[in-house]
Amino acid sequence: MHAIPALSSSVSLVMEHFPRPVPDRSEDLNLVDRIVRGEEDAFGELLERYGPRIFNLARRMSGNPATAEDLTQEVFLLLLRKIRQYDGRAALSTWIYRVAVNRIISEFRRQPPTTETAEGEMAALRVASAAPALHRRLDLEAAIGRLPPGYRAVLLMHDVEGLRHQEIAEILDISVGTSKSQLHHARMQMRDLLQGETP
Amino acid sequence: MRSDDRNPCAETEARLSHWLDGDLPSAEVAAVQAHLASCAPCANLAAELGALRDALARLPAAEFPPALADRIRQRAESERLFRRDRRRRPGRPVWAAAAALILLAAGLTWRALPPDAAPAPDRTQLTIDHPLADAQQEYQYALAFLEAQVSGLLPLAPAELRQPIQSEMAQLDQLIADRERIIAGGRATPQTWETLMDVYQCKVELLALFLSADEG
Repeated sequence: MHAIPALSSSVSLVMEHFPRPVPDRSEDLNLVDRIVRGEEDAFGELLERYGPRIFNLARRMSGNPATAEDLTQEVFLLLLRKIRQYDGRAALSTWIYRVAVNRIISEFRRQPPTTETAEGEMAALRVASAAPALHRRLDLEAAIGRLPPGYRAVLLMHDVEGLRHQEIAEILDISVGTSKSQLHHARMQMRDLLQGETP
Repeated sequence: MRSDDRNPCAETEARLSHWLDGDLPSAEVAAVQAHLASCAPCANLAAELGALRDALARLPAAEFPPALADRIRQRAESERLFRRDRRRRPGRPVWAAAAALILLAAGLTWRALPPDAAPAPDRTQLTIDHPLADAQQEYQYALAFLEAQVSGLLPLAPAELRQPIQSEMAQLDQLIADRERIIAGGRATPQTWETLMDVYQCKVELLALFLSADEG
């Protein structure tokens, strides 16, 4: 075995006595195994556990309940097709989010908002800017819908869903620094949109 | 604003989200706080971003539509995405022998299918992502095992047992080769897979019959 030159002997000693804990993925792997074997109950469990989260993400990414339902369905069918690829290296929730976010983002990269929708949203935002309660829910959702898909996903995962940057970085296959930077840009664009400025 | 190249407002703005989220290195926190204490526009921006972050965290979750789960299940079933385990449990020798005898006596339904003289594809190349691909691999493994057992015993068997077994195996092998070739060529229909599974099962039962007869 090759030695790792960068590690000093003291670091090696510490690593030997305090190895990085290996997360227990047995529950995730067991659920996946049951789905692969065709157990409908297991798929029901997956739906129950992750359906609301994926629907919420799709709802906020799309701003439209019917589109969100279609996207949620597409994501779960995709998960069934890919389920054998899950190998337990990441948490099942992270893997599922990765599949879902990539599918949802690709939908919106393919189909940018129409001019009519965009103008309607901007009109709503201009009204919102004059209202005393700047961050009312509808204003927020309209502004979220105007963000570029990548920024939108990071903002929703961090500020709305409460995921950590480390998780977001794994889901989107980006660095933690990029996740933080995108979150800041997303918030700045949200602020501009809520003030009636086109970013 | 200072007259040198540094722009403290821009530097602070770039750090505001990190500062709000508690992600800023401690060495930089004091600098940000000092700037915010002396710069009203940056302090306002920090307040706005903080309010925005808090408002986003309070957004109510959308209710998961009750009918959506059933819709997803139905669609998954219609697209045959549930990998129902089609492998039948290994039966006891009596059951396997009875089933195989019925097959031998009645003749195989698939005899009517057109034969194809093309060579069988290399099974190791069949890496098709299909709900039954797992079952296919397990059948291939089981058949390889059974064939290894049978190949050593079959030449020693009496002709009246050996000949019908060899004849049926040849036909089953042809049916398997035809369908594996169709699958490898990407032209399989759901019926192709279903038939392949059934032919695999027939061959397992045939080999099991021979082995159980030999044990007897």
